[in-house]
Amino acid sequence: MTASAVIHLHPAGPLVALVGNPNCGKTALFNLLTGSRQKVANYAGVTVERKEGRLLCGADAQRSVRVLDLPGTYSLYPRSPDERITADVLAGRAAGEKRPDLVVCVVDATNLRRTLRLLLPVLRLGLPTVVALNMADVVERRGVIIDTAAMAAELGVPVVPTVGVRANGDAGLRAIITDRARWPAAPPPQPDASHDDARIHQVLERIGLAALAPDTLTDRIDYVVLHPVAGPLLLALLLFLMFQAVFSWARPPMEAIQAGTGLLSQGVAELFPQGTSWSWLGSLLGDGLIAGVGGVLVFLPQILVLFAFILVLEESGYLPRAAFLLDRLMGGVGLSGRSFIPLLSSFACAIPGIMATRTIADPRDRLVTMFIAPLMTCSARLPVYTLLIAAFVPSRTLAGGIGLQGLVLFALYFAGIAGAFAVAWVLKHLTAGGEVRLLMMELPPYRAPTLRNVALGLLQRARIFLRRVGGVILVLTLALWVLASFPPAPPGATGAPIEHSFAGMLGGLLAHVFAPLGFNWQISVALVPGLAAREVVVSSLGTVYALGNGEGVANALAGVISHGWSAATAYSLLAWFVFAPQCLSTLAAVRREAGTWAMPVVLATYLFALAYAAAFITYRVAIGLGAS
Amino acid sequence: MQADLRRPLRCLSLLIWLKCESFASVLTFTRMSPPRKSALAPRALHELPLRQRALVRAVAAVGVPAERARQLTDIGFLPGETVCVLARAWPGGEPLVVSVGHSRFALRRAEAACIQVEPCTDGT
Repeated sequence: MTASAVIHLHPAGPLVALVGNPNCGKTALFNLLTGSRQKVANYAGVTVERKEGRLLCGADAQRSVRVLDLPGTYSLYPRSPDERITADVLAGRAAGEKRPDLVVCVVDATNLRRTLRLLLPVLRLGLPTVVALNMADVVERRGVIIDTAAMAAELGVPVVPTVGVRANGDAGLRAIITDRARWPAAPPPQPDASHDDARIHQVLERIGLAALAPDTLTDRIDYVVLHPVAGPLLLALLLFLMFQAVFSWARPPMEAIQAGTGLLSQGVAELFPQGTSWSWLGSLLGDGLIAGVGGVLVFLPQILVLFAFILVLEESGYLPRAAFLLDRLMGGVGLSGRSFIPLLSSFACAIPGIMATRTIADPRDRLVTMFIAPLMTCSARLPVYTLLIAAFVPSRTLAGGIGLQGLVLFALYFAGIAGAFAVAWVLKHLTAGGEVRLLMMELPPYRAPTLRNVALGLLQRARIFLRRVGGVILVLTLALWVLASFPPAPPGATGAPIEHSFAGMLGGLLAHVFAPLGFNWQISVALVPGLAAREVVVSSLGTVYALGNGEGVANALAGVISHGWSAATAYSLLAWFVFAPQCLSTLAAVRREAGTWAMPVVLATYLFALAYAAAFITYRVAIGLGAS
Repeated sequence: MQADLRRPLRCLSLLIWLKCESFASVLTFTRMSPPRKSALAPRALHELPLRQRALVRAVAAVGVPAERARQLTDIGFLPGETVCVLARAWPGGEPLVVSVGHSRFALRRAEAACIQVEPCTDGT
């Protein structure tokens, strides 16, 4: 799930680094040049680490060029950890990386005045530099054609127009990078910084961009979106719609997948009838593989619906606006709007969210954001939520066409957010000073999300999910099947054979810990592999119950638990999962970003305590209210 | 019975109407900074009325860490650049959305207060 950040063992080859302001399209160009699929979106700070790719020069693989994508920065004086990476690489200070042989300074044609203010200091570094004039097409549509030759003459370095969002939009740049003969020499000594303003003015005058008409469409949209009353309402509506859609749009494909796995397990059961010497294989396939893995696979449509929303929001440029609208709210708990995007990313998975905290300048805020990121409901928790909701919340439509199940899901997400805010509030009183925090957050122009990008993003999410299903989830499910099937029940034993297996024994032990929460031993067993990947809780329950009911056929899990569990247990488990101690890979990511083990240990401890308390209270209250 | 009910109802509808009025004033952005100074006097950016264009005169860190001034110039707040307050969050009027040149930034009031501006005469 995490892209490998630093690769040390690379054959020495020429190194090209992409540098530029945030959100000017460096990663889009990088993807075009190297054929990579790095994440691109319409807000500042998507790239928070250096990413490496290769660009082949002709057919000869030996003569390829290494291309480095760097986090965007406004200046060479870094203010946050991601910007520091860029400054360090350019200065040749970065560990395990040499100083670039060629710098491609990506400038945003729609905002030349500001982007040139980064270019001039980059030229003063004395490295050979090419200017990629990106988004040249956007300016052309506004009726201005930039004279790149005149610009190159003014700046003294080659200037090539590029379009990062179009196939082949990198052709001019690629031609220069792949041909060493066309690489420019180091730029001549530059005048010092006091002349920058005059030089920029001169360049803009020369190419006729001194008075480019502003983007009025964005202003008009912002009039509504940033409106003090309409803006927050719109945001609430959007989030609400998202969770309703997760349930209603995903239903048909989910039912199809469920029907498919049902047929499959029936077929398997007929193929390996009970009592024959091959019945163990039937159990492995039916109880282990199909009941377990199939049980998780069902949730793919819901995850895709959720991501379709997130991708459209990312592409459109809405996210920083949402951060602006929520800044006051975040300020109340000692954070700033800057923490919003890392927290929102955590709805996909806490790991990219924790990495995105690199864009936060204030070290305290960064740690607090990492601390509460796991409370955002990651997509791995979605299967657990929807399984329990489908089993225990009636599929009813309330007044106004609002589905009750979607409403409960919304409430669960909200509970996670409220918990995160409460924790941040407590931490504010423990640690925060009274200083005013940096905001200075750019709101990019709106862009219509392209179908291609959204589709590619969804494909990538589907691939990640399926790889998890086919990888860690499959392995853990099979491991659990083994633990739950051996040793076999002794002759003459009563009860289901699984109760005598290793998993049964482990569950019996853990059940003592979790009994106050209303968890039976089956749930207790399922929680253990859930530490590696939370969806595994669902697959594990599938396996444990398929083996336990002795029929050898995986019934729909929701049906089994809705009969077997009390409603209080289900609510308690939901409460547990709102705060549940996060998966091991999240803890590892926190360890890497914070640089100390103390942080993940404290994190895991407080989350466990919080989850235990929340589940305990929920269970007791539900019992008290007569839920059974 | 009917007549008894009418009076409180009328009071209620008046109250609702008043509420709507104040709501409408928020909707139309009219409740923004009071015109204490003459419209064209130099002032800090956060004091600028909504959508009033102005030119940056100077950037200096006031009451915030010294590097703020450099960071503000890094993102484009340079003397002579056109700026305009596009939106203020509510309640509290903070943060602000400011357009500078061809970009837009969300700034805190304390950040905007570092930027001295001179309103443009065309009044737009």
